[in-house]
Amino acid sequence: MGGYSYDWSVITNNKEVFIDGAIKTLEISALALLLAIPIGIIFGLGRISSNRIFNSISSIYVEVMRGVPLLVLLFWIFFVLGQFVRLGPYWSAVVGLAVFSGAFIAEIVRAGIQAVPKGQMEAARSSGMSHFTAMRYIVLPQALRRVLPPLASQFIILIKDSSLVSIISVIDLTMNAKNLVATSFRPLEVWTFVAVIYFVMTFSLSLIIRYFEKRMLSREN
Amino acid sequence: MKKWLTAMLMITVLLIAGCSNDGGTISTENSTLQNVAKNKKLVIGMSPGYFPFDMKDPNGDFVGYDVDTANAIGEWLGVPVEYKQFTFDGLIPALQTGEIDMILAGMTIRGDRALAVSFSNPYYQTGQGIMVPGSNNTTKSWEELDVKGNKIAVGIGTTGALLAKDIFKNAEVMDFEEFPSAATAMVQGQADAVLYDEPAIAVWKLRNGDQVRPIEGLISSENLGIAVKKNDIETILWLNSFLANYIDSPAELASRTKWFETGDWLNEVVDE
Repeated sequence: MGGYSYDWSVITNNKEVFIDGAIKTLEISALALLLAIPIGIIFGLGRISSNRIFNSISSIYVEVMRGVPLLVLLFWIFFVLGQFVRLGPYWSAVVGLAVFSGAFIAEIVRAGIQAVPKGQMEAARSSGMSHFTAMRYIVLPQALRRVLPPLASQFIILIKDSSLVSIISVIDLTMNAKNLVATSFRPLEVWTFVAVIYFVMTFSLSLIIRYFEKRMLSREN
Repeated sequence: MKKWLTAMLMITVLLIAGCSNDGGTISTENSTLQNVAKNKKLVIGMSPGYFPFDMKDPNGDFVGYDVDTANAIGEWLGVPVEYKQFTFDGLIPALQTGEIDMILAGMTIRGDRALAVSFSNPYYQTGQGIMVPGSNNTTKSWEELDVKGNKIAVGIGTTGALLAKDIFKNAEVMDFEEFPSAATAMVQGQADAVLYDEPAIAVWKLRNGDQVRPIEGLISSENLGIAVKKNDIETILWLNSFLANYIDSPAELASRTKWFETGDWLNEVVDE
C-alpha cells in the first residue's frame, strides 16, 4: 500500500500534454513504418537472393540490427553519425526506428517467401512465366497471407519501441509524460494513463490488421 | 464464512480510505529514521552524472560531495549506506514509493517539489549557469541566446530545464536524459548552449578545456537540500541538526576542498 495517495486530476488537467504526445508518437511510428516496409522487403529478398553481394549485405544488415539494442542505435545515430550526417533529433528517431524494424521485417519477409512450397515457383516457371512474374503473381501473394500476423506484431512493437526516442530529446508521448512527472510528481497516475494510451494505440492497430486479414481470406475462398 | 468475508471487505475499505487521505496531515507512519533503524541500512537515491556531487569511480562505487555527506549521515546513524541509481526525474517517484529513504542528489529546494517530498535545510548554495561552445566567443548573456532557431540543451526534470522553459521565449529547449548528453550534443553543434547547475558546468570546463566556454554569472540562486518522504518531521529535524554540525566541520571542509577546489579527482571518476 505504501504512503502514496492517488490524485487523478493530473490527467484531466493536462489532457493536451497526452494528446500532443500521442499524436507525435503515432506520427513518428507511421513515418518509420513507411520507411521500414520497403527496407524490409528489399533486404528480405536480399536474404534469399542468389546474388552473393546482395545476399551478404542483407545478412550483415539484419544481423547487426538484430544484435544492437534500439536505445544504443538511437544514441549512436544521433551522437556518432550526427558528427557526419546531421539528421536532428526527429529524423534520427524516424531513421533509427525504420532501420531497426526493417531488419525484423526482412526476416519476416524471408520466412514468408521460403514457406511457400518450391513447387509453386517451379510450376509457374514451367508454364512460361519469368522469375519476376512468378514471384509477383504466384509466390508473393501466398507469402503475404503468411506474413501478415507476424508483421502485425512487428508494427505493434514499432509503436512501443518509439517510446525510446525521448533519449535523443524527441518530444513524444513518453517524453511528455517524463516532463509531466517532473513537474507534477504524480508518476503512478501519469504512467498508468500512458500505458492505457499505448495499449489503445496498439490494440486499434491490431484490430485494423485483423480486419484486413479476414478480408483477404474471404476473397480467396 | 459470510462474517469473515464482511470483515475482510471492511478491512480493505478502511485500508484504502486510510491510504488515499494523507495529503495534508503529518505522517503517523514510521518515520524514515525508524525504518533505517529497523532495516539496519540507509538507502540513498542518487543520479550519477552530476559533477562533482554525484559520480561513479571505475569500480562502480559512488563518489562525490553528496556521497561524503551521505556517508557522514550513515556514520551518525550507525548504519551502512546503500546507494540506488535512478535518472534524476525518477528520484522523487522512488522516494514516494518507498524505494529509497532519502534523496541526496544535488536536488534544489523548490516549492513544487516540497508539495511531493519534504526537504532538510540547505546544505549547499549554488545557481544555474550557461555554457556555449568554445567557438562562440561573442555571447555574453543568456538574453542574447534567446533567438529563434537557437537550441538550449537541458537535463530532463532538472531545475535548469524548468528555468529554461520559463525564460527562453524564442529559443527551443531540448530535454536530454542527463547533463553529459546535453553537453555532448552542444559540443557537436546540435545545440547552441547548455543551461545547468554552475558547479557541473565548471567541472565540464575543467575536463574539456577550449571545447566549451561558461558564461560569467549565475542566472538563478539555488539551495540544495536532502529530500525525505513528505511530512516526515522527525527525520527533517534530525537532518537539520546533523547539517548544523556537519557543515564547516573538518570532514566537510576537506570534502568541499577536494571536490570544488581541486581537479585532482577528475581521473578517478567515470562519466555516468
